[in-house]
Amino acid sequence: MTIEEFLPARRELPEDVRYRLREDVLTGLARPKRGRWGAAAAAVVLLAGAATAGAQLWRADPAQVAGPSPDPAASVLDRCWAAAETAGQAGQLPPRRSWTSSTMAAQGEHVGVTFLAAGKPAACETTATTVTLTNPDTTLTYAEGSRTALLLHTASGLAAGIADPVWARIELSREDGLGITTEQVPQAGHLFLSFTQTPPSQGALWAGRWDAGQLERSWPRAALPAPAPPLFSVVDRPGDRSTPAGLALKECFALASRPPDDAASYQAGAVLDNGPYRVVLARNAEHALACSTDGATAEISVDTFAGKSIPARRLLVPEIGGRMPFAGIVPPSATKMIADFGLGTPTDVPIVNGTFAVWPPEGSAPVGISGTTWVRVSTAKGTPLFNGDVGGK
Amino acid sequence: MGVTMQRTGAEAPVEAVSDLDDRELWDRAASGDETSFAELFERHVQAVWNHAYRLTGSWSSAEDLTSNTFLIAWRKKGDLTLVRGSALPWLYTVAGNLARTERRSASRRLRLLRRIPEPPDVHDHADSVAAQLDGEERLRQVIDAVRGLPPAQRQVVELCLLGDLSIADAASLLKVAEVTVRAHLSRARAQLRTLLEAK
Repeated sequence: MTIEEFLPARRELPEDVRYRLREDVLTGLARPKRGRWGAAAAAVVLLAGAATAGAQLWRADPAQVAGPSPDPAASVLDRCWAAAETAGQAGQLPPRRSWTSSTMAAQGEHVGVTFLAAGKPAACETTATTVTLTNPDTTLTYAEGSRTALLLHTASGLAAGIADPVWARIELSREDGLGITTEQVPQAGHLFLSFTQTPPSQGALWAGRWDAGQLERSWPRAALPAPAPPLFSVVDRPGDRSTPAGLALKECFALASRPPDDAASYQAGAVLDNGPYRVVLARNAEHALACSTDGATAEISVDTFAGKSIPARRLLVPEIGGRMPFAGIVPPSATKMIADFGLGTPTDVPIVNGTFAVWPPEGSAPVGISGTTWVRVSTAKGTPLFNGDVGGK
Repeated sequence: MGVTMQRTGAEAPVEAVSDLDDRELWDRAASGDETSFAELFERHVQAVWNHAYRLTGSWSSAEDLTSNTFLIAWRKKGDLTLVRGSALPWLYTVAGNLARTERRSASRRLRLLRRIPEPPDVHDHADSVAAQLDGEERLRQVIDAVRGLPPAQRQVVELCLLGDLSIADAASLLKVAEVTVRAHLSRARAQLRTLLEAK
């Protein structure tokens, strides 16, 4: 017997795992640097969370997040303030002019900002369609043995808080010590922000102190008490319903017996027509759906993902009008997609706003519920984003 | 259409891999060049990921360990030791150190072990689930046995047996004589054999 007999054979690294690893590392590097990974990994970065926290929707130009202001964080805070006014909550907040930003991090249109409002710590998260703001008057609950507390921890995994003043960096991780992110703690304000990829549903975040130059974990960690509920979370930029696709989505929702509660937050994507039958794809910050209608009734399939491929994922959409749609989501930066339906030549698949949908052409191999279909997805510049099978169990 | 449908394979990066060797890439990374670090990541991530699995016995833990290995590597990029022009051996040591950090407390180790039965997140090409579980159990036995070795032997085992480094490369990395590595490995093999046959 040799030891080697006990060792597993080495495996080829699956593309979706490579993607997740690349994103984990990119997330851990200093932001908002965007090098080569900026062109590809950053373009698909938010979808890493799709498996656990739902997908994030990016629009075409992330720079739009910042707006015309030379200070991107100020623009985000302007939006947060405007949302507070719209939500009727501005009266509970210190005036906007007293807000001074501390830390900002962005993954496309998913942006977090920590700030001091009249000297009180607060955080704001914005997505393509929503704003979530914490209450500066909230009483903080510190982790045992430190002056570190959370201000915000959202389903997307974004965590914001205030770190103990003696901490140079903060480590955030799960209870089991894995899922680690570390962030610099600004000496002014000590407010931190991190895309942890760990949503509250996976348990509490644990925090640990790191000193300057420290290379390995050496201080004890402690569980961070859950933050107080945010002051508000609102849809401030409803999905556009004036476009043909937006109108199709609006009409489909109107025919559904149970339209989604957050219907306004969905942005319309690809649309398939077949006589009186229609399928409309849509996404918001956390979910992807397909609305299928025969013109009289509509059925909505939310997050009915097939298989585990990331970042391109197939949605299971019921057969309609005797045809099975081939539909799903892709990174928002994707513009070109081809699929192999067994015809010998690839089929172009339309992509709209991070969604794809096509009727498989005549003669295609059946696109079953548990089958897989090879696809290749790329950006406008031809950078491959995904090359492999989607679907399956 | 003029498009051929070929899979790029797991080794294909998002963009063309640079012709630069590890030394040149690492020098650039050490000066803060994220692009060069990305090249190194694409070049070595598969090997580190497989090594991380052999260190943890869990594919999900291997993912965390792999990403943290590269993050630590980025932060310690000024400390790199190249072996025959490759950064991989050094990355193995970073992964090994991280794995030991994660195992520092017994309770944490137990929690890690409880993670093992989780369904793997990766596509499984094993012949059957039963065979896979059997393989994981055997790997777990090896990992437990390796943890019981003296530190010097354990490090050599991690590099040469789990990591497939040559004795010469391990000696170069650890800055010891080849005969020392050979001796540690020989003793470790004997002890591991005893431990595993006793199970």
